[in-house]
Amino acid sequence: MTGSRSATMRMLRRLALGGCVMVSAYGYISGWPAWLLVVILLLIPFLSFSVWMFTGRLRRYRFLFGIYLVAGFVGSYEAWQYQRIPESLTSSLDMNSGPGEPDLFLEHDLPSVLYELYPERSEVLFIRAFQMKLCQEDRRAWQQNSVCEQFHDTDLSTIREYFERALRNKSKTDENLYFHYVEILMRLDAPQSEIDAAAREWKRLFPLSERPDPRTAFANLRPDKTSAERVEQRN
Amino acid sequence: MIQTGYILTRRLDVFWFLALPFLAAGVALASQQWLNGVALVTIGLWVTVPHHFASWLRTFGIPEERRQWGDRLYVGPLLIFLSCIAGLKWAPITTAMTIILWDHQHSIMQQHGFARIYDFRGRTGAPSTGRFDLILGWVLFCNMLLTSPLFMPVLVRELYRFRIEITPDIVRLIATVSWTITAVYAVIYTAHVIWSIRRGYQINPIKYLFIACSYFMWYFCAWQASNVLVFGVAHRIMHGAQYTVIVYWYLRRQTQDHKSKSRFAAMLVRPGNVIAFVLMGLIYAGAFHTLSGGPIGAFIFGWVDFPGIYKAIPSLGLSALTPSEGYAIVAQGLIEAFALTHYYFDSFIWKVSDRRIQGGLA
Repeated sequence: MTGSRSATMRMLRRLALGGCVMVSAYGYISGWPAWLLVVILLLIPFLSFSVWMFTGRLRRYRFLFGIYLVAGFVGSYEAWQYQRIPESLTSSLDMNSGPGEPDLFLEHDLPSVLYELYPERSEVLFIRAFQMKLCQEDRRAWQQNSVCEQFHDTDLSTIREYFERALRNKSKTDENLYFHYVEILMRLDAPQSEIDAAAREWKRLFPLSERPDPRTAFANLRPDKTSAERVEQRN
Repeated sequence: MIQTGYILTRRLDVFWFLALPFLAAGVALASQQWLNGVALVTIGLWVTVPHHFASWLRTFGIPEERRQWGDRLYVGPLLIFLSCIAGLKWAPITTAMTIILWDHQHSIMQQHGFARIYDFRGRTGAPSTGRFDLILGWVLFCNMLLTSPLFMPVLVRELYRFRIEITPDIVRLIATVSWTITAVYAVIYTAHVIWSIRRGYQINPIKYLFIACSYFMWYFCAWQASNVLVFGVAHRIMHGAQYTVIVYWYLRRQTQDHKSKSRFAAMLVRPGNVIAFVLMGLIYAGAFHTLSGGPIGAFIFGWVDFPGIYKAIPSLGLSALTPSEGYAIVAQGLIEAFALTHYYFDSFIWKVSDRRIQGGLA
């Protein structure tokens, strides 16, 4: 960089820094939140540092810096949104603590969006079925979330159909699909042979799973029946 | 106009760079058909982790190059490890997305690197060819990410996790724009190749064949496979094997003139010593997997059921062992086996009555 250009850049940087300080002062008087004032004050030093990282003595690290610059911005937003920033810090910066983890099934209706786009993919069918199951399980969900209204006529048999459509694709990376299929069969009080076959398939495809046998895990979900009725059903 | 050049030799290139993508797709489809869900982990363990070993060897194996890269070899990993630890604590989604996206960038650059070597070896291409090839790689790979039914649902889900509600219409619009950009760039790229030929630059047809084979494999798996297992297995085999091969040949060429002071790398890549090179990669993979607490069953597609040796006893309220509990038993068994070996050896190596042993005791 030539001397005159360097001097111009230095002057511009000082002017920008001065502008930021003035805006911050105005913001402080007007009662802007502290985090915004900090961002404005740090803007120019941070930009200068970034330019230096890309052009200065440490430019050999610019690739790493570039990646972590982007990741840092996105990660900060994530930490705020998922309420992972310590409360002492958020309160001292006048920040709200973030909206928390979004409920993709009952609040944002992700399954419907994906189902409209990719209706035959197993993971999409599974999350659609899982959404139905959530609405089925908790009647309060109907009152609290309009998402559940679309499943007025849905019963466990429909959920089972979605699971079985998903299973036809033979996905071998989605353990939840196989695990919860056993649950649905147990809720429907399907014949024991079907439940056993589904549990065996889960174990065969995911032999290293840390989960308990779904037949044990969901044993209490089976509709109550007398032993005589069970023997009759088995026969 | 046409000048063929190979990275290794004609026969080796046909196998490792042209046929391997198809072979990898075949193995992946077979895995989908006949193997269980552990296949992805096992392929990762035996192919991807050894290729990391190749990367360590390539980076640190030659002292002259190590000195050339200087502090980046030490400061870089330290920063990456620290940011990973911090990321897992405060921003795990971003950390996971960074790893995935960096992996994609790395895949694009690896294939681009091979394309550059083809031009280098064949002395082909115009000075601007490298840039056009690089943009082609980015356009094709990004188009795959933005339009394929394998990747787009993941992207939509992650956006929702950041409360960015993207509608189906926007997804379709993104796909249309992406395909349009790809088609336009394909025309520009072809025009550049024609321009290069007219300006008297030679072209290496093997390079174009290599690019076509690689991207065919990725596109085929991203569209035709019903789940991530096929793409994952095929990608890991192609990427890991090609990287390991180029490292082996690079180190061999760099160390064979005896100018290099590298002893360990030179020993591993010496002609006829390829088994030692492969074996070291596998030992590294085994050690890495074990030390990182990976399930032992993953070594062989989960076929050995360690927890299965202790069945659940519902009447006593005892459940079956989880894989990590099974791993603890195997680890305990190994420790005990070492102790037993020590007892066994000591039963015969300290015989004072043995004349030879007396020499060491006198």
